[in-house]
Amino acid sequence: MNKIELKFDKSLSGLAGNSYGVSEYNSQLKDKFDWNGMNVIIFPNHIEKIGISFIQGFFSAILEKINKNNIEKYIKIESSSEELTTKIIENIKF
Amino acid sequence: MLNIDYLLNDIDAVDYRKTHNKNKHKIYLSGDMLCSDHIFMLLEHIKFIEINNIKNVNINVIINTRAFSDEAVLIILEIITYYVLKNNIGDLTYTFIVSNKYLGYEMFKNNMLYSYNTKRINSTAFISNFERKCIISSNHYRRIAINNEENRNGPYLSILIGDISMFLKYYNVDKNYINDLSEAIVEIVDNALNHSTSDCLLDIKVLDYRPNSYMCLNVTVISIGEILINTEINKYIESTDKSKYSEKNQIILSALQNHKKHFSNTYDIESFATISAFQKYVTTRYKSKNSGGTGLTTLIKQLHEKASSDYCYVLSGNNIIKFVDGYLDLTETGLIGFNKSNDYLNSIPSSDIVYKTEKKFNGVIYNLCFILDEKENNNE
Repeated sequence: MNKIELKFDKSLSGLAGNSYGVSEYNSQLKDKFDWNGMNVIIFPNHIEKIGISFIQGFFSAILEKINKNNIEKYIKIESSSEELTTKIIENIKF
Repeated sequence: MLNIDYLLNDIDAVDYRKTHNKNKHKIYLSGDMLCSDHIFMLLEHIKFIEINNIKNVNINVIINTRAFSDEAVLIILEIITYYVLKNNIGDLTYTFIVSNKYLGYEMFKNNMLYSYNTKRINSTAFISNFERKCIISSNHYRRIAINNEENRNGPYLSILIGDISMFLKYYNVDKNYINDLSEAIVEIVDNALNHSTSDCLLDIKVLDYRPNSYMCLNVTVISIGEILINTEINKYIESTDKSKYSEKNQIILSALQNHKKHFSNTYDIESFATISAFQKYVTTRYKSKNSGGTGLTTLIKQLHEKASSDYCYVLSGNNIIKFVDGYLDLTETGLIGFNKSNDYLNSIPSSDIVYKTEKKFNGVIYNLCFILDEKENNNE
């Protein structure tokens, strides 16, 4: 299992913005993502909310290669709360 | 830059003076509600002053209405005031003869013009206050989001979503509601920064009469400029080479074939392009996100469900979409019709949901107003 621990400025409690999502994908996820196996993507505990546009930007390159209905075969999300984890998955599939 | 001069671009010059004194202009804005018609009257008169090159004008605006139609009107009034003073068009005095019995008047108390009622506005103080990038008081949050690459692409919006949540937390509102509202606001600001060249003004006002009564949350987001919600969709429709766009955009052309049979002076290609921007898989630029706010109607629906009442709309150009319960769902295929059958492809939107204003606003205004009832929103 490929664990990817994301890092954001500790002063941030939320993540938002499509372009910022794309840029963070490029800097934190792109080179570490395992396209043939399961990736556990871990959002740090200080992130309590994430806007849909960030999620769409962050995962857009992945969704170009992986059908959103198969996303759970490749991605497991860990975050500060179950609610947030569910929301991230829902928004990836949105 | 807020690009306020765009507000006067498509405006006729009209002299609304009641007495023809060259330098003393008394303008009466009267009626039931202070509304966009009055705003345009004021803009037309300012255009008249500019075109006739009248200097050192003393403008006295008498507002004699029962109430204010909404918060956005008052914020536009602030913006016009800033434009007049910043460009040395003249002195400004407002006289508000407005009933203080209505909710809007309580909101007005946090408006920059409130303290100047019947007094000549101190130009230096007003300009300085208006230009502040961020104002946070006990029930007012106002921010000018600067449109630059750093803010569009960096963590600015992430900081903003945390900032807004922090402001709203003070009111002890349900945590999920705060998260949803903060997210909706930041989605709108994100769209405003990424699909225009102007800065964006965000204003949040809160009236809290709980526990005995209700709470009112009003959010206004304004960006001024030539780029409207439908601008990129119009370009797509008009483009001869559609190969650079996503094939999913074909849905727009299919819908257009059905909608154009019903085009009239109340629903036209501009209206159609505006609602098309809200379709989920429509991408207006090559490999770019949707311009109207994919997911925004879903967020507003969630906010609506927890509110006891609400009044939400977007105005862009001269097209209005009201966000009303029953008209906020995306279909399984990601379409939204803004009509009773929720059928974008075959049916035009309901005329009371999507309609046109007589005059064009060069920019985009989102106004979201939610009334929360204490009983319906138990605190965590």
